[in-house]
Amino acid sequence: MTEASRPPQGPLAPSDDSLFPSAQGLEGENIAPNSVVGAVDDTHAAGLELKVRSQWSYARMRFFRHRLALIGLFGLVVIFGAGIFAGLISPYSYSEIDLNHIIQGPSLAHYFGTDALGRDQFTRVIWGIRTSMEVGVFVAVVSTFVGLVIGAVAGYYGGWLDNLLMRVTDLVLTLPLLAILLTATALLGQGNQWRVSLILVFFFWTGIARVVRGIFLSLREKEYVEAAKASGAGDARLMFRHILPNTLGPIVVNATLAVGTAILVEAALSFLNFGIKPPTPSLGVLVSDAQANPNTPTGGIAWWLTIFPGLTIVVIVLCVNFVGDGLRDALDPTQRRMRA
Amino acid sequence: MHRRVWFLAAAVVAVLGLTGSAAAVTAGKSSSSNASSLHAAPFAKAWANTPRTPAARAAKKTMVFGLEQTVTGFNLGNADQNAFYAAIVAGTPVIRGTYIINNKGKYLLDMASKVKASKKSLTIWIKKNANWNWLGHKSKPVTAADYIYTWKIITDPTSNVASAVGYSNIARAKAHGKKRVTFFWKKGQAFADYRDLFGYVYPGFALKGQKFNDYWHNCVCGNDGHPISNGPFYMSSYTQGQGMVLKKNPKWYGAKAKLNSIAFKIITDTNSEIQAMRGGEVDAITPSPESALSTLVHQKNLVYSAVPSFTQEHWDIEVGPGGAPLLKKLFIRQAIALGMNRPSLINALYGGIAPGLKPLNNTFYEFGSPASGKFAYFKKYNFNQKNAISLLKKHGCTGGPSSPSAGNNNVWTCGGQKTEFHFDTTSRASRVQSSQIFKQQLMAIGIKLDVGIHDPASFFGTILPNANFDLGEYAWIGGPDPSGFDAIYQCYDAAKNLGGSNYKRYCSKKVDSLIKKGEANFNANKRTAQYQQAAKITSNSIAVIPLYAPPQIFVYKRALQGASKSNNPTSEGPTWNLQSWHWGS
Amino acid sequence: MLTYIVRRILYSIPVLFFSTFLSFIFVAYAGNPLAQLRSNPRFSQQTVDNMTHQLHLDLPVVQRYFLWLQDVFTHKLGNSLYTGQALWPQITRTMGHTAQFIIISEVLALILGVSIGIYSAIRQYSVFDYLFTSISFLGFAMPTFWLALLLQITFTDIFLHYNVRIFYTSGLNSLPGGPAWSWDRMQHLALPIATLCIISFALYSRYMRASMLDVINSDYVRTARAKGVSEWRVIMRHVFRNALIPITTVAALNFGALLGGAIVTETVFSLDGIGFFFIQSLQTLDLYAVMAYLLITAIAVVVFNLIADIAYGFLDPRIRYD
Repeated sequence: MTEASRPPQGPLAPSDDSLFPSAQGLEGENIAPNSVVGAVDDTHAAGLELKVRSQWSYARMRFFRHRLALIGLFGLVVIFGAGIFAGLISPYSYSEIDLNHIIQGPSLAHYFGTDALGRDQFTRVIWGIRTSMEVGVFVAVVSTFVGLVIGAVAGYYGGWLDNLLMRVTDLVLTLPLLAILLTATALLGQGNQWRVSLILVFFFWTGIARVVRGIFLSLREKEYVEAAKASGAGDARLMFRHILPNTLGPIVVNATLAVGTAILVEAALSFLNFGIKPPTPSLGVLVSDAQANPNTPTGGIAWWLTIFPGLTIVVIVLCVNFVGDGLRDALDPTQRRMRA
Repeated sequence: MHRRVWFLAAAVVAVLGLTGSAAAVTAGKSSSSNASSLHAAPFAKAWANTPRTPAARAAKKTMVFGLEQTVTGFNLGNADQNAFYAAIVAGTPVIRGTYIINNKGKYLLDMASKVKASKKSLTIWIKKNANWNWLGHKSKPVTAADYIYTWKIITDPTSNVASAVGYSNIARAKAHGKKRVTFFWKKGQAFADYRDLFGYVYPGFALKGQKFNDYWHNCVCGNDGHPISNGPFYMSSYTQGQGMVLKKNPKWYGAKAKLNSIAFKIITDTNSEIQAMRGGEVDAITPSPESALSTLVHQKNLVYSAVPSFTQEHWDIEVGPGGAPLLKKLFIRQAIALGMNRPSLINALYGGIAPGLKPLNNTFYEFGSPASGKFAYFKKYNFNQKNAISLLKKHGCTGGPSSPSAGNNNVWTCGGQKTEFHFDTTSRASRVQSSQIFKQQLMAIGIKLDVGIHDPASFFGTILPNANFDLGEYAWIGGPDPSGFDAIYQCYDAAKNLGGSNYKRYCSKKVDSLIKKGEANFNANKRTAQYQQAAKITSNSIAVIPLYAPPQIFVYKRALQGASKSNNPTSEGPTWNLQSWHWGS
Repeated sequence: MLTYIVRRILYSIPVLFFSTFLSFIFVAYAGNPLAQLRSNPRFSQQTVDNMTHQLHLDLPVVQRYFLWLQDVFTHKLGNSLYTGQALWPQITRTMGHTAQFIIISEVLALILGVSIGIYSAIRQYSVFDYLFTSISFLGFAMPTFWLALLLQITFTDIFLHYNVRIFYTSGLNSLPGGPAWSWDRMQHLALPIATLCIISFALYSRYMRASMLDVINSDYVRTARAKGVSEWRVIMRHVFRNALIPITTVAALNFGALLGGAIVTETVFSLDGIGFFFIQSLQTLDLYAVMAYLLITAIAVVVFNLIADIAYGFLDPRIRYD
């Protein structure tokens, strides 16, 4: 993730042969849209039956052979589970101030130590996971939806509408991203989690819009679409029923990776005190709080205040990236994407 | 070329055309310019010549002082430049006035040998040997003309002054020769806080042709760019954002400075400042309070001094129409005050860097004996949760906790309204923390706070002036004289320009009349009595809850002598006795 | 090609105009920069009125925007509303500092990233490959500010405990304003450069590896091998050069974006760069300074985007711009 936080124009890293080779036998097959591929199921070899599998079950198979993706998925389940059930599993209340135990290191009573007001860091990290998770998922889902609609409309109708929308996309992409986000959140965000998420959406939709537009542009000329048109299908039906399903692969991958990117960007904004502001917890806010009081009363450094929230961010994004990588291999084995 | 390209080219031309027409509409200077062409010598050269090792510095009789903020100018009367760090450099070391305030908050005669003030007039006898050293010119005495020029320029409506209070009370001036000047008050507007006037006197003769808003942005100099001073030092070089050098003024009329020069280095980042202090690159700093400073407290080679400053960190309780109706009831305000544990808060926020900092207990005085002992009127509202709860119960409130408890969730209902209030403050880290602490403390006795954090621009620009809040925490910059806070407690009257800073819309006729009398009372003892009476009334009205005075911190190398009394909590800052600093063994 | 460049530049101008207009409206509405004057209980209302008029705060926002635009051309971006000092010298100074450490870290990251990418691709699936791919993944997942803080805390701790200063943890020089190319400056820049280098390295090594693999498996490389060309020549002459093409565009884009100031790195290490300048202007709501920054960095991004596209078109003969 580069310093300047460019919006995702598709997956962060280019596709390559995945690190851990999975289903190699199925690579290279040109799977036509919506078609069905028959295959021989080994376990029924004796009876020589043909088990028909859908494209999705092949995707699922490829995903599950991707070891890192499974690790990532497991990690996400644990972490996001902790976030969802934050109220149940946190040992202290999130805002419980204990002025007798300020800035203490990790101990049995406080696994991650305490901060300047004696609040338990472990509890705060768990609540921080929850907030970051909410922001990440919200931004990913909503920006995907917006990008999908805009990309579909632009790609399908073409012409001046396409031109206008692409110019708007260019406008958003040309701006120095972090700077504009900082300005926008400083002035409109008001430290509120949902406002900040909305502002992030405003800049994240461009990536998926471009990809979707590309797919729509290329597919709208294909024969089966023309055939459907000839048999009287309307625009909406064509878009939704025939072209859209082919975009689902890249969309799912992009959305997954966007969760990680959104969490990173939000953490950076909050760290700089422009995004989500205290007392709302978010992992970036926790690190920024640590900067306000970096020392113990005796002059040493309270390293636990900075390390644990940051480590959590790293682990979350790592897991998200693993899952995204696995999804990309599962859903787009033929796709080799460099710079869009 | 393509048609589209023509269209775009036309668009570009249109934009430039619009710009040009806007230019035609408001021709002239840059719309944000502050034309000031006079500069001191550049700092870089002087800095290159500053020795880096302590031994060399001692030999050359020079030192390095770390300045924490970029300064925008040295005209301390100007609103734009009225900054603490500018005052440290250009205040008492370079440009002095009638009085100087020492580290105990006492006014001492400085450039004046005698001052006489009455309801009719203010007469100042200037010291015979007080003079201006304008480099490149023969030295001129400080005269009555300089005082009159100062008064005129500050009351000029086009001057962007920080405050004209006091100066605008003067009707006319009369010079008696060169060394005596008399100012006559306007009818009924005698100003008893006369000691705060003329703390900074301008050399009118050297500034001919310069406009108040434009001078001294980049130097402290006459209109030919050469440095000028009536203090122990003059500013020989300065570059904005980098630093400045003060050199000894050999023509000063007081005890000559013991150091030959002092380089002020601007280090805006606290961490760098702290490391520079520990590493010995700078010899003294006066940083704003941040908990990272705790690494400097116990260093053997450094002296660390933290004294309460003259800034009043406090709560305003809105008792006007813009606030919650319940806040108009005295017992509610009393309960709030009783539920706040101020010492515990101060210890949490400042324990590591200013141990022993105590809460403020007087609404007009902050420092020394007038603020303590029998004058500590607010002491009776010290932390007492049981009393708070019984007070609420006595007035018929129901639904709250019967005894204070940390995990309490019940909120009182008094007369049909819940004790739930908005609490607004700015986004500074210490205030965010104190809002959390108070929220928890008050919840323990059944009062709920909805905390709102705002950026300073909207807090000071919109929320406070519109009196649109319930409870607000912020700080006032004060001084040793109690009349500095008059505008906070006077009844608000926009037409008469009274009580402009009274955002909480507190109004008491008795306090108003006491303030009015005190403002014009030249008998020091009677005046103090009047202000203390006003302090008692305002303390018991609890429209303001004084919290604490943030510490003023001064750290310097142990080898630096003559600085033991330097940590001055007034706006003079630690350089008030800069001329006595020297390297010892 | 020339038409393409001209067209791109002309397209950028309304985009810049529009984005600066939006930003100006934002910042202008954000708040009153004169609010801080009220912290003095005896503040002068006359002064507040005077300054409101002088800073054009009483004019409609659109008119203020055009006044600003005028200042951009006639007064070199005008003066800061907060300090009253000219902005252009500040921008050039801070840009110089930022450029210094960005260029060093990007060059380092490129060299490291390209070489490790190549080696990873050649020795695909080896331990080396797995190791560096893991490092890359870690680099992608690491927030820049956290890596910077980690380094800062480590070295501050070393200093506090052992009184030995290996690298400085904040500032550009021990005493600001020092020489740009000195041992002292390098000691101060070591950690920020390390931070940016690690983050960029992850990106470049992944791209290089992917791009190399792409080329290695292509037909013409297979042909070359079949012809009997030695592996070394295959890699160096055919694979490496073609694999470099996407990297140039990525590097140009990255550099253009970084010129907007490595904001987070500069804030953590308190470097007097353009990103730090921007953060401070935003905190004081210094409208003109914020606008100056946005304009300069938007232009930088546009220019480098253009350079990236042109470089791509130049290097890859399959691409033709018209």
